[in-house]
Amino acid sequence: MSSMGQTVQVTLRLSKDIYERVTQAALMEQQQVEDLLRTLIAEGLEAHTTIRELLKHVSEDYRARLAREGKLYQSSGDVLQELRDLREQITRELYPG
Amino acid sequence: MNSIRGEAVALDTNVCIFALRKEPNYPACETLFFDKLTALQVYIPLQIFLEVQRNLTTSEMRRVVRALTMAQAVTWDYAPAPMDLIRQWEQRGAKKGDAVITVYLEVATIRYLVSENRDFLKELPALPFTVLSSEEAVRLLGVGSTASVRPQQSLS
Repeated sequence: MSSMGQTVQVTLRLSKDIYERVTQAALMEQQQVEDLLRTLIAEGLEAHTTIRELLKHVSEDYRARLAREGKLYQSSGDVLQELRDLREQITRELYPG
Repeated sequence: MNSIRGEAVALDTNVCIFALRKEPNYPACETLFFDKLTALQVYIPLQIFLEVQRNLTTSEMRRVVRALTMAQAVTWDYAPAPMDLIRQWEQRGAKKGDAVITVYLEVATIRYLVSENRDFLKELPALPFTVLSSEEAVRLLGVGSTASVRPQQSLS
């Protein structure tokens, strides 16, 4: 039976220093500490994977988000146009005038 | 054209995004980004970094950056592009965004840009770098020095 999607509750003991760094990072990233810890543990595990595995997981997350936003099946032409527009937008921000 | 092994190459934002999207029209983006990164010396200017970042969440970006650090070599260029050089390329007809990318590659003497934007500065003569599709880049990574492809843009 697949355990995908199931969750378990874990009690974690951290040094005060690490906990303070996590809370600071969560504040900066506007996340709950619990959510950030979940992300950090998942990313830590990915540090031991190959590039393909790492990017495969990023791709799955990204595609799932695009699907939720209704953008997964945008044509490649539309994506290219959006990226061209984004390039010009960022350029205007960085190099005004 | 020689293999691009041992050459620093810039990866355009569209290569990264198409790879992560698993865009069926550009399968070589995924091959290049997922499977060939360790054979690549990658150059990432600030402009491209920001474009990728705007498309991804913090967690997605952090992992993409981590993947890029596993390339054979990676250079992050966070310096702004010199404004006078940007203006020069604009005066030659480049859009500002493309002018910025061109200046980055020109200043850093990067000879290859991997991009699926086939129109990238097509109208401009004497580009200081060659634009390769990801398919061409994958082919050039896998061949010896005698193989050749027809580049979209030529070195001036």
